[in-house]
Amino acid sequence: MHHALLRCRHLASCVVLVLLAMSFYSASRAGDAAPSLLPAPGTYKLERIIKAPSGWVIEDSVWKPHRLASYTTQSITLFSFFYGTCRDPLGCPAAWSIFETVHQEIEKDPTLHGRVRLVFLSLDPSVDTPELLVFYRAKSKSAAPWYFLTTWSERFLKSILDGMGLTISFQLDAKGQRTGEILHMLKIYLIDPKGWVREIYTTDYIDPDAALNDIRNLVLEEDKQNGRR
Amino acid sequence: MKKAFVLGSCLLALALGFGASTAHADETCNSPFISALIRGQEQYLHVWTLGEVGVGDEADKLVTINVDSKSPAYGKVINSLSVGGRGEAHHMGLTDDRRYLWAGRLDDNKIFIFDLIDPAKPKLIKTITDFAAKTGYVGPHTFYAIPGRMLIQALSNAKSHDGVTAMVTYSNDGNYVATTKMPITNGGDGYGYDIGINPAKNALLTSSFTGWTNYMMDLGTLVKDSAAMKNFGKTMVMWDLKAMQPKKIFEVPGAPLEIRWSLKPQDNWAITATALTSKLWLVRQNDKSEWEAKDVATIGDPAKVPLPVDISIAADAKSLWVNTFMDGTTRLFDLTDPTAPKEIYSKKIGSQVNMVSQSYDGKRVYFTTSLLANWDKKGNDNEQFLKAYDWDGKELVHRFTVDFRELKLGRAHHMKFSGKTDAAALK
Repeated sequence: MHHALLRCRHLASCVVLVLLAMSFYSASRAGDAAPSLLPAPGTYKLERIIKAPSGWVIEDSVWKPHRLASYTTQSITLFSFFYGTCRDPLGCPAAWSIFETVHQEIEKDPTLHGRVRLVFLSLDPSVDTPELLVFYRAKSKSAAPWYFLTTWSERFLKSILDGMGLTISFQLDAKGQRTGEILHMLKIYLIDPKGWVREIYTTDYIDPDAALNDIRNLVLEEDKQNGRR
Repeated sequence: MKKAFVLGSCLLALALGFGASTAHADETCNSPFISALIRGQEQYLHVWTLGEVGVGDEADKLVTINVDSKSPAYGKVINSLSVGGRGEAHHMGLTDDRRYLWAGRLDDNKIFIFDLIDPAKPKLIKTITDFAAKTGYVGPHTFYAIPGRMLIQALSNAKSHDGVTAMVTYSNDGNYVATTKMPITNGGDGYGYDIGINPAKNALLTSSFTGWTNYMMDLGTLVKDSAAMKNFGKTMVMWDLKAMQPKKIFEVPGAPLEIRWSLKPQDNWAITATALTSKLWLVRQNDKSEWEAKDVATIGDPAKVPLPVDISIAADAKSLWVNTFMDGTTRLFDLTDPTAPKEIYSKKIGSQVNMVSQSYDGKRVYFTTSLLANWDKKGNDNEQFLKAYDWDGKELVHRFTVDFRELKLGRAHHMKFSGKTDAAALK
């Protein structure tokens, strides 16, 4: 019963998240660089910033661990952190909106099929369990697979956060107890097939058009390296 | 680099009502990518301080001052962290998440990374000592946060020590990423100084100063050396931020220094002051969306070479504080029409003044004194202080002074705000 209630609350939170995201996102586009201002894919280089860290994650079962590298190599990856009960309109809802747009655009573009994956990793493993994340699992089967991952505990999450250079903290109530709100700077990472982070997008200047432009830039770079053009 | 998990200012910003997509830095000189704002009252002021011979431990240091008027420690130095040696401490920059403060030295090129997990007690966690060896460039001057990285504008190069230089990118954990040379063709002089980014325009704007030979020379000797005086920057460069490629080079004579973009959404201009010609220059898009640069105002009496230095733009872009070093004066310009700024107020702060930082709401303004160790005035005119004022819209009202000589700290230079947190760390 408790888990069912938690799942309902989680599901309701997600609906709220997406609605918040869509309203936020349309309001925020005024600050984004127009697509025409961006250099054409294939004409610029994204530098290697950091190597995506190693670590263990779980997707559909606590008994089936996966190396994080299996979700950050072999394809171009758009990666972000989230948590299901996030309310901050500038946080997870914003990332969700960006990912939805990118996801839809990739599905429409056959040249990107099989070349790009999207990954969300939970910041709240105690709530975002594989059972609760099953709601999103259908997205992993699309032409632009979108994976929802979690970890066994904060201990396993910490090394991944360290490696990505992300700092998180927990809102406390008057008694010093966690409220459930996780404070973090929204960052979305673009990772190349070799596991190098090549671009990082942050709050207020997150733009799906820019992300798609960079994805196409990496696709062209990969094709050139592999002699496909 | 060991990392605990506190994002203090984010909590403070959230508590103060972090709005929608108009996030801008508190000190308006901060990178727009620094998202955890202090929109209300700043609690601490960090001052990157040059060691001075005969003063205290004579070493460069990070000084932290309580600037919360409700605190019993208001106006007091609460922490002083010496880094050892004197290497021409100059400027600092926060990482995008406000967690770390990078501070550089223009002579020995060391870069110090402080952890602000407890902003009242900064901790030195890493020192980059191979900047020059790795890049071939010297004088790490501007530290400008971009997502997950620090973009550093150097002033000079290790080979000739003139002003031909580069920007260098590091990851937030202090590892080298890339070098971008300043252009030396199509009108470029290769010089650099400040960085200003307008993400909405995919625009990165740079300015130009001088090289190690000049900035480490005694000022009195320098101004008499006609050959050396020719080696000052006279350009600004507009870059494609994404591609890190120069798009347009403007001729801006007289060493354009600090760059401040208007922070109002949809605005398309930035302003700078030229040190040697004492002018305000406006860089903006014309009706055809082409970028152009134009001088728009005079600062003081150029014939007296007042030496405009730091500037601070208001969050609403309606005004600009401009300091002039030689006469120790601050001036306020009305920027309602940025094509025609008008001086509306001035006040003498001291015998010399360099840096100016204002709170996001513009109600508090802070000034420090040191420009460069060999350019600062001598004798009794070598005042070294932090002065804090309230600005009521008409007058700067003095609140407190921290005398850096009396407290045996050194030469007070660059300032950054921080705030405390009530959040719990993930350990």
